[in-house]
Amino acid sequence: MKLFYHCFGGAHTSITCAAIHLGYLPMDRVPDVREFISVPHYDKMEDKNRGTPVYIGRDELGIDIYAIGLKNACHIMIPAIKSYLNLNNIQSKEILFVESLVKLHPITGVGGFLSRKLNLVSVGRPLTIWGIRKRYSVFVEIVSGVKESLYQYIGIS
Amino acid sequence: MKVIYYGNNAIYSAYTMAAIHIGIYDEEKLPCLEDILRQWELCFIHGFQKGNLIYMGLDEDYREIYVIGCGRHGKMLEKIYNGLNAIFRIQEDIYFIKADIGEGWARFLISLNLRFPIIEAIVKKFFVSTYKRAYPKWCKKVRYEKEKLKKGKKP
Repeated sequence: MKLFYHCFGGAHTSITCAAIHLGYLPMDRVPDVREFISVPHYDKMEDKNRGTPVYIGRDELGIDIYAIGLKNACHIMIPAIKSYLNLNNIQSKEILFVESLVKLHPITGVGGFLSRKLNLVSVGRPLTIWGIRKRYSVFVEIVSGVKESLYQYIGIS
Repeated sequence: MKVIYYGNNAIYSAYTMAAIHIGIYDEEKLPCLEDILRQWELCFIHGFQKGNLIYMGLDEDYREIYVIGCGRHGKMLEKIYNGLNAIFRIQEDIYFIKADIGEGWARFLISLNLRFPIIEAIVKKFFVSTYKRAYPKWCKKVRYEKEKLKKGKKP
C-alpha cells in the first residue's frame, strides 16, 4: 500500500506530515528549526517538478509514504490518478491520499511562495518553518488520525 | 503505448482530436452537422467534468488512445503519470498531446448558454461556426503528432 500526503507545492506541509509519520519529526513536542532543515526534501521541490511523487520512506506497517504537490487541483488529479491506476489493473484501495494543507498558516504560504516561486530561499524557508511550528499540533493530529485509521484498517490494535 | 489527449475538458478539442486520430472523424472533411450538434450536447452535459481518463479506441498502429480533462494542469498530470509509472513499475510509455485549440470559445459558449438558456439557438450557431474553424487546426495538429509518433520522437 502507498500513502500520499498531498499539499500545494509538495515542499512543506506534505513533507512535514510524512516526516512526522515516519518519525523524522517528533509527535510529542514542537521541533526546532534545525530539525526541520534536516528533514529530507523539506523546501526542496522545484516549481517545475510539481506533481512528481517523492518517496519519503516506509513506515512500521510496511506502507510506502510519499509526498506530492497537487496545487489546488486535488479534486481533478486524484480521480485522474485513480482512473489511470484502474486502467493498469492496480486497485484504488492500494493507494491512499491525505490532504495536508488544512489550516495552513498564512505565513507558511507566503514563505513557500518566496522560497519556491521567487527562489528567495534565505527569506522564505525560515518563514515556512515559523508557520509550520505555529500549527504543528494540527499536523500531529492529522498524522495521528491517519495512523489510527491505518492500524484499524490493517487490523492491529 | 498509450496516447493521451489532454485539455481543459475532455469533450471538446481533446475528444475531437482523439476521434480524428483513430479515424472516427475524417481528416479530409468536416463531420456532419448532426455530429457537431451531438458534440455540443456532450459539451453541454459533461463540459465541467474533469479528471476521468476516457478510453477512445485503438489507432492503426494499435496504440491506445485516451482523452482527459485536467483544467490547466496538463504538465502536472504528465509528471504525476510518469511518477506513477516509476512507482508501480508500469512499463508502457505514455505520449501526451496537449489539445487546447479553440477551448476558450467552447467554454465561453457553454457558460453563456448555462447563464442564458433562452439564447441557445444563437449560441449553438456560434458553436458550430467555431467548431468548423477549429477543425482544420485539429487535423493539422493530429497529423503532426502522428508523424512524430511514427518517427518515435518524444513529445
